[in-house]
Amino acid sequence: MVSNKIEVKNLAISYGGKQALGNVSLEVRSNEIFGIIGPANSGKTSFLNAVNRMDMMRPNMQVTGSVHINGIDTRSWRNVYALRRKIGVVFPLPVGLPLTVYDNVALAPRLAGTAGSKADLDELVERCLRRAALWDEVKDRLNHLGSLLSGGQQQRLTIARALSQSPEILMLDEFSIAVDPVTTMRIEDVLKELKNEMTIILVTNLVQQANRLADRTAFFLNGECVEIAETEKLFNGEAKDQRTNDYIGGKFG
Amino acid sequence: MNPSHANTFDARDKNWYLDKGFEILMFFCGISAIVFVVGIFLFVFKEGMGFIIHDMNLGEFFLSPKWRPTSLNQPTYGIMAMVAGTAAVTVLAMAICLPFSIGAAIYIAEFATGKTRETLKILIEFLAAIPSVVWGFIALSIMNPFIIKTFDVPMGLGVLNSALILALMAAPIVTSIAEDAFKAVPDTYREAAEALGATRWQTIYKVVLPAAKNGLLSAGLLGVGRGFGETMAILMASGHSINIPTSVFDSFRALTATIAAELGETAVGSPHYQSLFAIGIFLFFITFLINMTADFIVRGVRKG
Repeated sequence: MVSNKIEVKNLAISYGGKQALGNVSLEVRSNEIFGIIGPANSGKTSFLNAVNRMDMMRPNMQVTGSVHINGIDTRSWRNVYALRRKIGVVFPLPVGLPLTVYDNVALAPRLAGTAGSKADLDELVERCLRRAALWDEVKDRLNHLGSLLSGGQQQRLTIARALSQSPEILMLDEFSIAVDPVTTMRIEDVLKELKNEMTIILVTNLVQQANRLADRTAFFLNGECVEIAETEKLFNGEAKDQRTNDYIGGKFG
Repeated sequence: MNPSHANTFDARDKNWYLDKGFEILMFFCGISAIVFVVGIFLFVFKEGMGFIIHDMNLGEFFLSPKWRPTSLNQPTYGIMAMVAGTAAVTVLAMAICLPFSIGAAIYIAEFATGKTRETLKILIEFLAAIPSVVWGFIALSIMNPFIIKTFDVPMGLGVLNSALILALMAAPIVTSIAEDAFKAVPDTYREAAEALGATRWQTIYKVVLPAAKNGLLSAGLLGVGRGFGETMAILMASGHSINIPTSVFDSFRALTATIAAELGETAVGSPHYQSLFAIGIFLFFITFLINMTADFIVRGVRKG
């Protein structure tokens, strides 16, 4: 079944009057990996912040236009916390909260009050850590501080944490910036599996990563969505816009 | 190499001498603190040592509540009542001060923005600028009748009055250090928690507070240090009678206030004079211990 999970219409984002992203309309289909590529400052992260309404945390960030998830306008959700529980986020730099490995993963269910019994929670933590390909490395030190793991491990811990509420959407923002290539490949394999269960938005600064993973890819440049197409087409030189070809071909960025 | 170049590189020109001069000046500024601390320490030690060696009975000093240094036939030097009073006031003051100060710090660091925030910070710092004798005056002329009326007790000077005053006096420093502790928590933690669907309060309670734990602890310890060290306000608010307090309305006498009140009336070099310096040495150790602990904890923050 192909349906639209996220529909974005005329989305524009500005910070204190300075436009970061203008007039983006796109849709993300259920169970696809939607790649977003583009150089720095092109509005990729702002886009993600608008989707899970993190703009509420930033008083100077103005968002216009609409984002529909499951057909419902996110602006109309008063309980943004419930919205955010449906959306897992992985940040560029790993954020191991200063809690134990176990508590890092168990945090969200506990906050939401859906933790259930100790046995249920244990099982959930193990399942999330396994899916993030981290379980074997940390199963003996679940009580160690998560912030003391290595960078690559912390990033997988962040993914495990993002999975702990069985989100419908997973957004990754340049997750491989601080991760070694081997770990990156492991996480990419994880993403390919997760695709069956959720919709993934993958913002990446590695053009080839989008090529490897994304079903469709959008190219953002200077706050403008230049082009959206099947990833294959873009990488076979069938991009309609010359700027996309130049970026993918490595002529700039 | 061209010899003229070698000369340029080797020349001690004006800037070189200025630089050296500043380095030496800054060095003396830097070590002056150490010189003064060591100097004060030696002076207090020298004045108090005679008493510690000749007159002091360790058991009596710490365990006797009787402070009668001026008794002609049998002077006793027991500081137990004063230690108990000082400790009781410090504990009560912190119990009042910490929740409010940390609450204020949370508001300033996490919620307030722009003008509100700046105004609050300035006002709280202003609180720190009030001289302690003014606090003592407030204790005597406002708190005293207030406590007498509210609780229907014969006297309003004592543990409760002192603790309230001390809580107010410690609040600014505790608040500003607690705020620093919150500011030191990376924003990424807050974003990560919020992205997981945490509410503002959940973010603060589950993520920011644990992350700022060590800084908050050291803020509390500095408040305790303030409590032990405060003199003038406590002298005026405590009632100044030697007594182990058994209720919050009881009068007591603080260690520092004893030194302040009695030092001027003793003969230099007498056992009484020296015993006051022995109290000073004791206070020195207490504050030293508290500051060291706070320091170790803060260092823990930087490492973690």
